[in-house]
Amino acid sequence: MGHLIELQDIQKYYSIGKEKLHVLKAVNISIDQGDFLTIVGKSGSGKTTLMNSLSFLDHFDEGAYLFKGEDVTGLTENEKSQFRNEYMGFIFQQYHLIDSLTIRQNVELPLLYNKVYDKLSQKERFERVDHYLELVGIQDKKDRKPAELSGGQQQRAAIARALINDPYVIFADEPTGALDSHTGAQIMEILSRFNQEGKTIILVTHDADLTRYASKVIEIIDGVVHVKKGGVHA
Amino acid sequence: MTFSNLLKTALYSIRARKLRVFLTMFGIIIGISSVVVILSVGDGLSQEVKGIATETSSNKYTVSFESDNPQMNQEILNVFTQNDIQEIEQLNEIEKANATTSIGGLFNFFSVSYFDKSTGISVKSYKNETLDIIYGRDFCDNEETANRIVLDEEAATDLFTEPALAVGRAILINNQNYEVIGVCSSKGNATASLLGLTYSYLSEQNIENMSQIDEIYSVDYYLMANADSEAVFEKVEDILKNNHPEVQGSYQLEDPQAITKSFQQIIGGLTAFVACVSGISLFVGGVGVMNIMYVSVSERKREIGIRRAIGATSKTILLQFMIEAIIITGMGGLLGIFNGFVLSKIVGAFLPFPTVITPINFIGASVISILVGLIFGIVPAINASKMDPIKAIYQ
Repeated sequence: MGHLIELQDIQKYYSIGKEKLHVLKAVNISIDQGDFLTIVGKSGSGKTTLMNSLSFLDHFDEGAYLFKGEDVTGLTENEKSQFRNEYMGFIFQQYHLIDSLTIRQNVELPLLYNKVYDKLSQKERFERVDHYLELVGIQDKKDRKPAELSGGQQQRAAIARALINDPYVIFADEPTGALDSHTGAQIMEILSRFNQEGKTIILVTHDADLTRYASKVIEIIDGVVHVKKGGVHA
Repeated sequence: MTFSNLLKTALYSIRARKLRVFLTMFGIIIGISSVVVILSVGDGLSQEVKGIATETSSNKYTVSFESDNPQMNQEILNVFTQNDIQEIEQLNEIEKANATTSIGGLFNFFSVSYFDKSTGISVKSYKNETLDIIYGRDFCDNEETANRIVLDEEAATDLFTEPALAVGRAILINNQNYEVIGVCSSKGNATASLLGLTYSYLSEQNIENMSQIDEIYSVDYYLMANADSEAVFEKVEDILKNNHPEVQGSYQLEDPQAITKSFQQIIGGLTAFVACVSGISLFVGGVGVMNIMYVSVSERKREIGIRRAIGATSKTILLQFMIEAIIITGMGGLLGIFNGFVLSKIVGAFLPFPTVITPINFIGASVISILVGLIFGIVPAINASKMDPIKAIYQ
């Protein structure tokens, strides 16, 4: 008990034609509330696959997933969607904001897919959005479209979107990969700040430099987890 | 996601590609408006025919004779006589009876001649309406018994070459002389000219007299109010059978509205056919909607992936795309109905009868346009909802 996330003996295969590729090999990790876990590894090592399995975006073939001690291995697609909405936030390398919506509407989106928050009036939702935009420092850009913002500003908006439902854990896939080092450092500072306020962060990167923000570091080599920093095994 | 938020989401993404949506909508607009116009013309024509038919009394029934041997000449048999008519008229339930002069209560046909020239006219009884007189004069009061006729322009041209010359001449109808007091315009009655028929006018008295001279093929009788039509027919039948025991065949009651009904059926059938043909453009429009929805789904793969990642279920994605398709066709439908309404008014101004848009057509067009969205939007929407979020994000 006590772990936020616990993976037990996860196996995952990809079938390419007749060949079966073993991408995650007996993965056993546990993540605690407030951890800053960085997953490093070469491209193709399986680090993104591991993160997607952790975040229910992808499925795994064998093993068990415990979230706050509860077995959530067999959730249906709909339950996974709700789970992601309530407990998880996502930050991507390419920001992945929706171009046709304003920054405010983008950040509002997770609220609309939430069973509780979608009952709020738009005014209440926008108040909440504005609060998070202020936290990431782009409140003045709320009525702009994503294309009118710099990469760093878009990533800040994406962070606000990841936080808006007050999730337990934030998944960040190469959040600084498309940014210059200065802007990247700013983004990392923001993530680090939310981590200190208690948010669990799981970050995937191939940039070994970013491990300095992490409380735990694991490296994936050919689908096998190697612990670099902190204890992650249950 | 609540429905109003779904609606808003769909509207936002439609607004983001206004031009393309409008171009797609164009097919729907054309399809719906052409269907609306066709239906309004058809309904207008149908109502016009009905209007003419109700000019004839609804208490009128016609008895005709059907011989067992179709080759036999009815004229020789003499199945109806003036005597029969007088006897029928004496029945308590019957207001009056006379030989049939019109077909199904719609038209009275006579042949007219002036020396060696002859032509056919269809005749209407004059009922104090203002005729569109182009030569000569209209009927005066107290002229009912005199043999006078207002000839229609076409017949006057046939008989006299120059219609103006007809005024004051005597023409022969059923071996009786009638004085032509005027010539009326052939364009007077919209439906008549549409059907290739124009009317000449005689007094009611004259028309009745005329019918007493000719051979009688069938008898019209007018029921008193509240009389039972079937019981009366049995009595009429008895009279006729008594008077003509030698004939082989049966007397039959005709539906007075039969011709009108079959006319309306034909018009209705034609309208439906033409509406179906113009419905093809609606089908093409629907395929256009399907196409843009497919394009939209594949263009917005990433958006779908993002939405799925942050909590959209496949059902909400399905609904979002369905609603988008329905909004496109629904708006197209409304614009099409409006467009069709305006067009049908314009068309109606050039037609000899007013076009009619019934509420059923209005509702039907709206429902159809929404259905088109449903039918052609559902496959792309299912595609979108089945998309794997991982593949959608990392395309």
